[in-house]
Amino acid sequence: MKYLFIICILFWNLTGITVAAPDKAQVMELLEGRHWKLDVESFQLLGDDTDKVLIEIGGDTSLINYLRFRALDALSLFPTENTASFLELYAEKSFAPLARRGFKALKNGFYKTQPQRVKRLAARLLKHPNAQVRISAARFMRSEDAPRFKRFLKSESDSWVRKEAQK
Amino acid sequence: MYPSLFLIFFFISTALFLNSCGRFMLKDDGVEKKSIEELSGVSSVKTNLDGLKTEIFEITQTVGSDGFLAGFFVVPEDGVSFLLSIFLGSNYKIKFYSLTDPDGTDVLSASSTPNLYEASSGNIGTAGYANVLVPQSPSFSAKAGTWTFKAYTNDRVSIALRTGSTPSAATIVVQPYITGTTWSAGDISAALSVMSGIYSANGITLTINSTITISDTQYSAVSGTFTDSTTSALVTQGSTATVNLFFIEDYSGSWSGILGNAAGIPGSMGIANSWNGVLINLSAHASGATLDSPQLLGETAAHEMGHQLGLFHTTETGGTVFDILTDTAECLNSTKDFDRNGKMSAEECEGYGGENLMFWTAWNTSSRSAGKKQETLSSHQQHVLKYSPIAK
Repeated sequence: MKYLFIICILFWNLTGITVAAPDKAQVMELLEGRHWKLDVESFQLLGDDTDKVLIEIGGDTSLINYLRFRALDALSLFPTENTASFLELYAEKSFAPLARRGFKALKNGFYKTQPQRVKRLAARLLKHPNAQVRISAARFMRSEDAPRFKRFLKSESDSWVRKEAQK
Repeated sequence: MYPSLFLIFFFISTALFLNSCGRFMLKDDGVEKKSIEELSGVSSVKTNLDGLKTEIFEITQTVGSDGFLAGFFVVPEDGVSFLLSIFLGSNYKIKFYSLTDPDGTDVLSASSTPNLYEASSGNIGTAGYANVLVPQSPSFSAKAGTWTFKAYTNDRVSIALRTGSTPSAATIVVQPYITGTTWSAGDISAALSVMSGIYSANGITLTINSTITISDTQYSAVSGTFTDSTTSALVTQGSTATVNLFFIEDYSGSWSGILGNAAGIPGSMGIANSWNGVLINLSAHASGATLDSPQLLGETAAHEMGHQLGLFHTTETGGTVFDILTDTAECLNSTKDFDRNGKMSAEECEGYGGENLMFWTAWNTSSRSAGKKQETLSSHQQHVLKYSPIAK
């Protein structure tokens, strides 16, 4: 009976460790700072369900943007289907700072596993109304699909955008 | 007629005689054929910065037998401060080999006391541009006399030399710029007031010029790398007699998580170039498309301006590296990293520098909501600002 009790306690603890989603405050702490870099190791230590918390932060319109931007960046470390859908949604937003970061995170997180998905999004973003978003997509396309990149250069009316895309 | 001829002959003879005397005296000092400007280390016309007692000029360099370029400049009796800058095209790494004061102390050498070894960009070396600021702490002073330097191959060395009375207070002129179309000058006015208040409470008066709008769409989002061609073209538009704050709509590329950055510690002063300003990211400070955090935006602008004028982070991220000033609080990793995550938060460092404007990171969101601010500067930090070549 005593051994059964110990086994139950151990099982309960181990199960708790593997499934517990991190506390939102824990995740937020990793997104703070004036000068910030994505701390891969610290995020990965938070566990599998961190993507849910990051998606919640990334989509919280009441939060100051730097936290949301960084949450999008960090999502690239958790390449789930939920993450991909969320990032695609944000990449096509009209607010350029969110759109660019959504695309960047999708590219960083999913290029190895779903290159066609990233490429399809990049192709759509070549027509985004914001020049900076078009530049981000074009820079990706330059190495992925040279003919499409050349067509973009021919159709793009802003000379500075063409120049930036080739940087 | 004869008296007139005699007068002409006398005048020409006197002129020739005086000229030869002058040459003889110059020959004695081994400086024959050098102009008066070259004798004071100057090779270009001196430019006075508007409203300041600061002169900008380029310094003649000669190649020494050791292969280094060498030059000198003279700080007058009423010298207050100087910023010695070195430039190299194509953004190659550039630095000084030595900078020796009139007493013979190389302030860049690790064996000197005090020294700026591995503190000044002019000693460490950076891409395209580096400098040495004196004083960058009260341990240094712009001593009167001849300063000499040796430098690695470069395009030019110039100096911003401030003279006048010993400063007990200071006024610094700030020129804000705003890029993009999402926000306008009115959206940053509250943050500029916060910034002005922070400096005023620390003995520095800011004269903030009207914000200039830069409407070219190519500057709405730029890289935080000052050698990037677009960033360089933007920052080069900065005024020479002011500290230039570029409130950009957003960063481009990999700078997405940054609130702001300066062109150096310090950046350039008094010369229009790629390092003559700081960048502040507006979209990072907004909620959605609304700029509603003037306190944080003002603190970021004030913090980056502090870097541009020569202030380091009081405590760096890990709590093991600190600034060169002796009166700023240090927040040690060994005693204050309560959560053992290797990063010193402002909350962990409250009372140990977390309140200082130049602490490496801002208060977190909940602390800011509770009214926490970073607005203090130590006496030594104020000293560096008051003596700045760009102040009066």
